[in-house]
Amino acid sequence: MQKALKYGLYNQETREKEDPELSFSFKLPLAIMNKWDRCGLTSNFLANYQSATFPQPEKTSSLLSTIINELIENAIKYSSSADKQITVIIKHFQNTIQIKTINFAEEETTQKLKTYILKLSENSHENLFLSQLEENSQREDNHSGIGLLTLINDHNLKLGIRIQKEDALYEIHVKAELETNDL
Amino acid sequence: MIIKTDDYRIECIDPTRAVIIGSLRLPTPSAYEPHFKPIKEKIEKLRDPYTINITKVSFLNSSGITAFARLIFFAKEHNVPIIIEASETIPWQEKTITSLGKLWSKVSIQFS
Ligand SMILES: Nc1ncnc2c1ncn2[C@@H]1O[C@H](COP(=O)(O)OP(=O)(O)OP(=O)(O)O)[C@@H](O)[C@H]1O
Ligand SMILES: [Mg+2]
Repeated sequence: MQKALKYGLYNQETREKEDPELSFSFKLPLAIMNKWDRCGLTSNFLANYQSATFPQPEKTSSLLSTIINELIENAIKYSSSADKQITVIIKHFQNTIQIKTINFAEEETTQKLKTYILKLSENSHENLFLSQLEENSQREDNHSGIGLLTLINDHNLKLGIRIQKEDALYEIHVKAELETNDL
Repeated sequence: MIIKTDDYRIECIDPTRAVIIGSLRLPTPSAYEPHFKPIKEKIEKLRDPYTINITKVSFLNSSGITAFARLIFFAKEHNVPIIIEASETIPWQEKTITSLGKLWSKVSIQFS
């Protein structure tokens, strides 16, 4: 088996050993999620569920929904059509909320993700956010490349990406973690 | 002109002011084009600042942020200053709108 390519959080796997206080995993069939407004519905539902015990449940829910939605949108947009479903996993550890998506992508899509990871590693994130938007205004491209950046920049969370070849496709894990003290 | 769906509405009857309300999570930046077009048509005709009120926009996904940035670049081309009325209590607005303000010096943001 080929070695997985890892970025960010996946280079520090410590958290996985802790037992989560709350954990749930959702399998979302692409056939249903292709009706686009399901992304938002699902994100709102998961966020509401998760935020009920926080001091400011509405604000927390809104923040979580924003994050979950970006990750779900990506997992769906970049899934291979040969794949039938994506997985969303939410775990609540003592001081951390972890949101993770798993999807399978084609070679070409995965190559773009690798290029993107390189950009993230080599540039200041704030400059990258502004330069991506400038670039995007020049061409009618539908991949704006600012979703993950907004999450890192604006919502103070840590990101991890893991790419593992699985037969003809690539298994993509994207993970975001935020500290509950900030909520 | 008022564009309305289940999730959001965009009101831009006033020549100098648009109000956007609701949750905007369309699949691509270009999916926003027809909805933002009436706003562009107003901006084109102006010299004075144009105000966009988003205090009741609960969600705007990254495709929407890109579309919004394009709106700002459009205003820049026509040299029409933009005033964004935003809400500090909505998490995505607090930071992301401030970042968008850095795209052009004639964008001012008023938080309420
Ligand atoms: N789950 C995923 N599977 C495969 N590739 C992904 C995944 N998530 C992100 N990517 C890759 O990373 C890039 C950056 O994602 P990001 O969400 O920041 O931007 P985007 O989806 O291109 O545009 P937008 O700003 O509208 O979200 C994508 O263009 C895509 O190539
Ligand atoms: Mg995205």
